Amino acid sequence: MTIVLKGGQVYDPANGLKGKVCDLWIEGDRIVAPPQNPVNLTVIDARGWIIAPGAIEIHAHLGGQPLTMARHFCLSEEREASGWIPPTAEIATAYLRMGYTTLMDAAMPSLTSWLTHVDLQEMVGVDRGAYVLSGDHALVLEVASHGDQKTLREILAWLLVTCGAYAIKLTNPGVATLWRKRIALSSLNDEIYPALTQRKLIKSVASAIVNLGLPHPLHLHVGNLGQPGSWRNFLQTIESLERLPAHLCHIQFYLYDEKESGLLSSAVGCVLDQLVSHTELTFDVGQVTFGPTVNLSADVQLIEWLHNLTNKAWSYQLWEGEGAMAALPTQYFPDDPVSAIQWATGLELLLRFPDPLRLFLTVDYPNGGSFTAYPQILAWLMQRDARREMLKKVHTAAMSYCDLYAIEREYTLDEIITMTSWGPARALGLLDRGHLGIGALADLRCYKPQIDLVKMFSDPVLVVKNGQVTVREGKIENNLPHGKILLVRPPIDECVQEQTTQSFFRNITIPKVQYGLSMCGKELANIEVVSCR
Amino acid sequence: MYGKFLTHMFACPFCSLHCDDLEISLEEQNLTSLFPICPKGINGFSNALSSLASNKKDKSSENWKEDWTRTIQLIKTAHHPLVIIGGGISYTAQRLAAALARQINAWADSPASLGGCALPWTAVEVGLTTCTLGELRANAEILILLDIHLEEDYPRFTNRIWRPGTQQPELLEINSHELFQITDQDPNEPLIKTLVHLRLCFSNFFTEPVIELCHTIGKMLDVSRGAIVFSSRLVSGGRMLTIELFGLLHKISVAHRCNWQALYLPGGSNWPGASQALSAESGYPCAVHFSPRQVKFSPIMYSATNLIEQNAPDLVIGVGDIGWLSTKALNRLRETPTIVINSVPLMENVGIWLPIALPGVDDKGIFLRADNVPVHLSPLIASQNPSAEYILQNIMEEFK
Repeated sequence: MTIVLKGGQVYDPANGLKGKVCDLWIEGDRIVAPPQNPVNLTVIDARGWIIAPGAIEIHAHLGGQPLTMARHFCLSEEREASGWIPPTAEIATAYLRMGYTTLMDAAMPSLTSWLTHVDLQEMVGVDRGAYVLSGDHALVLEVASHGDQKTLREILAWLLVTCGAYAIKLTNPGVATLWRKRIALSSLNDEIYPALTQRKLIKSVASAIVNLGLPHPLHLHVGNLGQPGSWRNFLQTIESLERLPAHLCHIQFYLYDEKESGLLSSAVGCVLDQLVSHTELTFDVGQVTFGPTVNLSADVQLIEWLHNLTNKAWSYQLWEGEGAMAALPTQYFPDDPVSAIQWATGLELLLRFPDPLRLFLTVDYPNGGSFTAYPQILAWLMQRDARREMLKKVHTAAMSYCDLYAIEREYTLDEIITMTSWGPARALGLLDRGHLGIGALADLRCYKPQIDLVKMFSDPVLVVKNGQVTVREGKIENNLPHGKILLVRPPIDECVQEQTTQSFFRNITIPKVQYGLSMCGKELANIEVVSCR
Repeated sequence: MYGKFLTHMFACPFCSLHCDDLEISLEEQNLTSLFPICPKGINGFSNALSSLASNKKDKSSENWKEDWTRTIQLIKTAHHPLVIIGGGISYTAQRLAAALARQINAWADSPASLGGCALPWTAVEVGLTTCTLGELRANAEILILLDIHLEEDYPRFTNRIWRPGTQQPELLEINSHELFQITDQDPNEPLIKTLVHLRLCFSNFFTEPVIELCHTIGKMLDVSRGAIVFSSRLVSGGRMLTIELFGLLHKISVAHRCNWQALYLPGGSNWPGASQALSAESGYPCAVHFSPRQVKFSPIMYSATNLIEQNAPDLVIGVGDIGWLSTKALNRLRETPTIVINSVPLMENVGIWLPIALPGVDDKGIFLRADNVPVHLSPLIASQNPSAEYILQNIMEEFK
């Protein structure tokens, strides 16, 4: 089947198109050159529409046991108004309705990775994948402590394959290991395992990932999140990577300084030059939005800190042989000085960081709020007056302790598309999407230009996934394409892996044949194995 | 298909520990040995295998057709159906059962709505950690068993976790009924001493400074790592007591920087799966209404037991084991149109029974262990019944 979108304004930052009026041809699931004899041609009149590549979510918590933990706090229907975590399948369609066609789950525990995959299978209409939590995995810590890079590579490869993962995620690595001993992790130089500091582990894993040639570099949640002065540890972490590539997630949460009044203040200015100069790194923002939500993280020390701070009920699970996950319901209030400063810091970062190819929009769902707030955030970025109006409505601390009001910059549509499509695609190593060049995956979104940008970004007039129309005038079509589960399968040295994993399986209550996806013979449906370099 | 004599390593479906180291021997279709010995496992396998033999006689293909037609008819004409997602079926089947409830706008419930679910939530809400079985092994120096009768409920509990030759923690068994009645026991007996101190602690919980009490108890227990294991059979008084205990242990943890963990052992097999399945399909942790015009979530009003006791549903579809309903609710089912999709019938003369294969006996499937860790169960023998997934998919197909 062939589709042609005629006469739209095409925004394709990867190919230098900034609203060029042209026809876009789709054959099967790909963008093609105009065919000579198109078969089963469907012509869509796209005159006046904005056409852009499908958006990509690089960091959100979307399924598996962690989300069930968070749902335990949904004990009232009132939460559905804004803080509710919908069923897995509905999360996917809500993203799709906004023009998102590829989603990444940011925290898959290896012991329950099968449960994450059951949820991923239900998320039809989009491509999706998951990062496996590795920063407290007993095997990773043990091997890294020996300084044996070759074996570390093997173990990371084994984890990726066994759990059906797309990338390796370190969440404040070592924090849960120390937590078991009731020891707080406060610095990169803390020993998290005999002869292993957090600094050494981060560098070893980042280096091993480069050697494995994975499409996405180390995905890193830095320590000391949310603490006043955390920007210092954040910069030290960047230095500890020694110019190795990495993606640092939800970085807004680290960019706080402390004022004498005891309040937070934005530390964007303290880190900006470093962020800009480290061109080997990419980031996502973790923007805070207002309303009720749930904090969910493998950084258990952080959630306990929030629990002690707010005295709110929390939930917590430790997994044998690896880390943990904790959840705590929370709410960001516009009239609360801390929430207001967090909100303003995120926007300040987005507006002061010059390169949308390296800093992406996320809310670290559900931590910063709901992903359904993306249209509103985009509107704030594109409309100086709109964000200034909002700034007047939130607590005055945001005005006093952040530089947001003074910023004149307004994102262009080209920059918005870069930040939500081509930038994350490039960071994920998914070069078949995020652009509209010949041969690209036919994932795209179309908007009717409107003055009300929130409405425009909320309701794309058309969303196409794999060459199939999935959303028309805001309505989800029947028979959505299943989409693919994206994963990597780096080669494994069975001998090394067998030898290294023996002691691990002696110490846990799950045998190797039952671990991760081993129990279903690694035969997953609808997968796409993305090549390693 | 049945070999004359088979010996295999299998995982067991009959309690939420799901031991995966069983050596099972069969002759024809009879269990001849099970090693390591577990009374619950032996009973479970023997009953399942013998009921398979009798089902074969009872359920002819004509009965099947008739029951299938009646099933579809009943669902078509129901205005207020209730789908109960039980244990004893795979996690995939539980997800399908929840999806069926959504499709036919039914109420849906799982064992999570039993009163016992409040306990694990309370445990975590006061800050106690939950953990997996392996974490217990790695960390627990002392284990308090609250209303868990190991011999009866989990015969292989200690051997399953602490293999022979490894050091077991000290076990303290506490029956919540008796906790307040201990007064004149031998104070030299360590367990009783502990209980007396616990009782003292509880009775003074609101009158003395909590931290002071925690120091006392923490000193008494003198451990840096402990665990508390509890079940859903705690009676209401016991629940209140347990909640206090959780709060107290949390204070101890904070005051002494020691680590207490709590592990909830659900009574039925794959109950954690049912709970997780309903949550993932509905967005709520227990009892929901999928009808778009109704209040979606009300764990008290919509629990299966309450709805049936109030005669609210005009059709009950039980998928998996639903024998945990209250006696009153079970008796009501004699008068309410009921469809039971399970490996064994619910009761005599109750509704339509669609027999299914049982994962771990004549089917494969993944169950969630007590600690939410997925475990794969393989079939011992070839199946003569369809899987729950097959039946549910076909029902859903009829209503597409």
